[in-house]
Amino acid sequence: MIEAHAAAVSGGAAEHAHDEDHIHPPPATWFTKYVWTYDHKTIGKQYLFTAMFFGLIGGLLAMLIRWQLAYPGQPVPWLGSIAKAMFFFDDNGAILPEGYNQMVTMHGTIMIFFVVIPIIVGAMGNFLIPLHVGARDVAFPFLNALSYWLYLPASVIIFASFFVDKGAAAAGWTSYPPLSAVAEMAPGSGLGQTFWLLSVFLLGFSSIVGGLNFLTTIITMRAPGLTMWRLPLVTWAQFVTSIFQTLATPVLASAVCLMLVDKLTGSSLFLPAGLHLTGDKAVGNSGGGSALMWQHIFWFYSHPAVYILVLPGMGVASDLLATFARKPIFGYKVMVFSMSGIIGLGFIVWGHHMFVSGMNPMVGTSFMMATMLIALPSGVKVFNWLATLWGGNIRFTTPMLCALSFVAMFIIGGLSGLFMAATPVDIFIHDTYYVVAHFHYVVFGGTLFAMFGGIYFWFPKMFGRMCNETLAKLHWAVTFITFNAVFFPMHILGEGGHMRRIADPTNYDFLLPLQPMNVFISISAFVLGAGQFIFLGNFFYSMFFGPKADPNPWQSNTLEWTTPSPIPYYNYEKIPTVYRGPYEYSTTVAEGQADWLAQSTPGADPAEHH
Amino acid sequence: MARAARLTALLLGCFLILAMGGAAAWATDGAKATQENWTAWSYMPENINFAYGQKTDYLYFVIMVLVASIFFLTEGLLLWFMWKYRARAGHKATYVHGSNTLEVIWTVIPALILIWLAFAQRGTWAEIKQDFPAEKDAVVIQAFPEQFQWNFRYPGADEKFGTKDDITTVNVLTIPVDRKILIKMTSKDVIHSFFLPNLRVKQDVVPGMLTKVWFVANRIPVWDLKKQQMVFITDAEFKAKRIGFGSTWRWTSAVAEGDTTNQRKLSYEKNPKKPTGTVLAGGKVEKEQAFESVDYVLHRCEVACAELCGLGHTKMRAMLNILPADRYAAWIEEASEEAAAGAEKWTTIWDKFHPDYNADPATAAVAPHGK
Ligand code: HEM
Ligand SMILES: [Cu+2]
Ligand SMILES: [Cu+2]
Repeated sequence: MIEAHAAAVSGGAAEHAHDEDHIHPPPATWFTKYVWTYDHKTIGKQYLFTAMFFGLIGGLLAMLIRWQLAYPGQPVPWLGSIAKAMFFFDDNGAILPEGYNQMVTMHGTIMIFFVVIPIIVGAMGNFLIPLHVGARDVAFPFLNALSYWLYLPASVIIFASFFVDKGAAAAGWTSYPPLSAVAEMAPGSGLGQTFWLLSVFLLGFSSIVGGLNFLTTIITMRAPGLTMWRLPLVTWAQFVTSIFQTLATPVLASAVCLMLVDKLTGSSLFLPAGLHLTGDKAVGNSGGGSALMWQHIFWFYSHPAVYILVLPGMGVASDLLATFARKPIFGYKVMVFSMSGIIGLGFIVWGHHMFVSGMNPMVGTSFMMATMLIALPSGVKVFNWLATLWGGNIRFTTPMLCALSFVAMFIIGGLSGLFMAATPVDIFIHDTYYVVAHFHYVVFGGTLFAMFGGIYFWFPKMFGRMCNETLAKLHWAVTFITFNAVFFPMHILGEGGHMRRIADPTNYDFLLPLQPMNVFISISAFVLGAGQFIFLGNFFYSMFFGPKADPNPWQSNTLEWTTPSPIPYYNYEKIPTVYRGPYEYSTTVAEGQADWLAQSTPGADPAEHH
Repeated sequence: MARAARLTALLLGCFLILAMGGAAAWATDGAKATQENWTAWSYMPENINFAYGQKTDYLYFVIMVLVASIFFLTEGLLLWFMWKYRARAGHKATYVHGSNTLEVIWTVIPALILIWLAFAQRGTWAEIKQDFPAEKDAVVIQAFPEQFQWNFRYPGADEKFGTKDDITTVNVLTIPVDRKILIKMTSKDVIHSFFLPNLRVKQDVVPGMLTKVWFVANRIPVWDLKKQQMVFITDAEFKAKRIGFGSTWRWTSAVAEGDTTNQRKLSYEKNPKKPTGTVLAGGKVEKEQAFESVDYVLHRCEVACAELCGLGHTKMRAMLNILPADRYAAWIEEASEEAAAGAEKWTTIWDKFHPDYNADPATAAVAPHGK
């Protein structure tokens, strides 16, 4: 049965929209145009560039980690005398075990908090939401600028933490106390950890402010005719993500605050009685606290956070698949419902990170049940993406290849989640490379491919020029192949029991047979890392010298493609009126004409004829 | 454009086919799974915990079959659609918004499978983490890890912890074969995780909290000198073999000259200073036997720390000795005569801060707090 027509209600939002329908004067100075700017597109680019810089640092750390795992204790090549200046290395330039712990900690922290969330929410959300709702800017431009200017000091602090006394935080991106809370328990748990906490605290505020802003924008600033059921799925995904951000991030902020209090005032919220250091020296302030409490609060935020990482990617993939399959997205409303299902369930599954933590096993059972169920909306989305391809007329552009890779990789990441959701099975694979494989498939294979796809797709709108398609395809191919070569074997390492976060697996007899695989993974990782320079080269070259882009190079329907490329600071000369949903490709109404029908082209909504 | 598109689509296709081929090879290897060893086809270390290890491995196997089917179905459809619906001149996509029937089908069927899966494992989980054996039916041992070593304590002849005859060890856990083992743990400093790969055991050890694991080791690890590899044998097989035991068979694990990957070569070599040693044969001890007189040497498994616990985390490893009942009794006797290693932290920290963890909850007058 064909789905009934989309709601034909013309939005109540339309009434408010005309209030905004006047154009402010352009920013007067270089400073207000590029630095302290209220323009959501420029703020989006600020996020993008800052995050790309951190991507380089996070990537470099990943290369060092892989070097150590393949060649434990061997000096890192080309490092020379820089090595001695850093806490990470011994005098020969080999990675110290403590340096290794700092690297995995900072790699995880930087990639999640300073690269993926800022790009997928800060950059994509900022750039796209006002365009997709047909507005001149977000609801609160000042708050929007503020959100970036909270993110920036947070990134400066996290970057500075590499250089403080005894180096950066070293207790994992999860920062479990007591290790992270007591300075003597790990070198990085002194000033490094304090910097980490401050940085994450600021970042949390940036997230909350951003989330509120996006919610308000989407709810109140939609163009006339643009009902919620006519929003592109990217924007729906940002909407859902913003709910997560506003509800979950305050919890992280409070956890971080509590640990800061422990560290700075000598309280013991997370420190139970009887803690002793090496040499049986008592920890002065221990007593009365709970080590598990941190894990509960942390994962209450961080499980939703993993969906903050992936939902916008799902949105981007949906839009790209529909555009390049030249078909309406299959099951639009079901896509929205499944995202809502993910929010609902996303708040009650955090305990699946704690099955063997000592948490009451009966509670573990209920978390297992909820976790099994959260695989369902993800599965439903996969089926709808596949059905979107069915009967399509698929154009294999680079954005499309990235979107297809998103689907292919997300399937693998979701399926490995099932093993870990099964409590008895998780006992063996918890804290092994199985988990590392799982989340890299969803976050790198999923979100990062969606991000690359999104960047290639919206590049013409951002910079008014096209990327080089050949280089883009090469970058995609190298990334796709080496990504799989790096992360697929990690499932096997995990199956072999290879613990995560160990600096030297060759210490264990039972891991020795897996060592050649570690070498293979590392070599693939170096190629993967090098391959990203194709992207960077293409990006910066095309930004200045790429061929000029048409307003709508992909023949896409959504509102932003009706503006010139690059988009003027006021977005729309006249606030557009929307007549239909975003995915009216290959409609029968437009028989004999182009296979697309822009949202703002006056006329009937073909979805209503069905 | 069209050529480049076909080429790249081909590339994606080839890769996915390759991946699916690999997965298929892996899956057909699944035929090797047997009632006794469900993960024979996998890279998992051999399971020797027959109390519940087979059940977890069975679940792993079942989920693998399920997941592999979904993987082939979805990735197969993806590939097929990519090929079948590639853009061609004169083609037009089908204009369709969805189908409620399909949505219901692909929501309800997976939902049923997932709910079944959730219930299928509930029992095993309860068996592992909830239904502990009574202390009187098990060998009870305490573990008290710290940065960066594993401390263990045995109750000694009086079967009570916190008394003079307790036996303590560092980085060595010795247990009898085929007996229920119950380990009661807490941490002295940070969170560690007690991981026995061959026994499918993993449990975080948390300061301020008592956590417990139980298991049975149903095989004894020995080293096959001919094949130069570890094998697991039953108690009966152990009794039927001649097994070298002691420093004559010296464990060596050297890195080959010039090997930058630290690929240690594992073997037992002859100790030139002690050319003859003890052999266990048919439950008897034979002294002064030559290195060459046996094909097997008593070996051990490993204990790992699975939770990042600081600077020395990567080296936080202990040995797990699994012995026949008579050898275990002999070991206990020997150990109780030796000076206990690291006994002090047990009396000054564990017994002081956690006296309730020493009691058997079945016999304790007052139930230990918090549990
Ligand atoms: C299909 C649904 C999914 C299921 C059933 C699932 C299940 C799980 C489970 C049980 C764990 C804990 C494993 C352990 O530590 O032993 C886990 C870890 C993780 N998952 Fe998922 N997951 C799913 C989807 C996702 C998605 C969509 C993302 C993110 C985009 C994600 C990101 C992560 C991350 C980052 C971790 C590891 C966190 C850490 O320990 O550092 N997962 N997942
Ligand atoms: Cu989670
Ligand atoms: Cu440890």
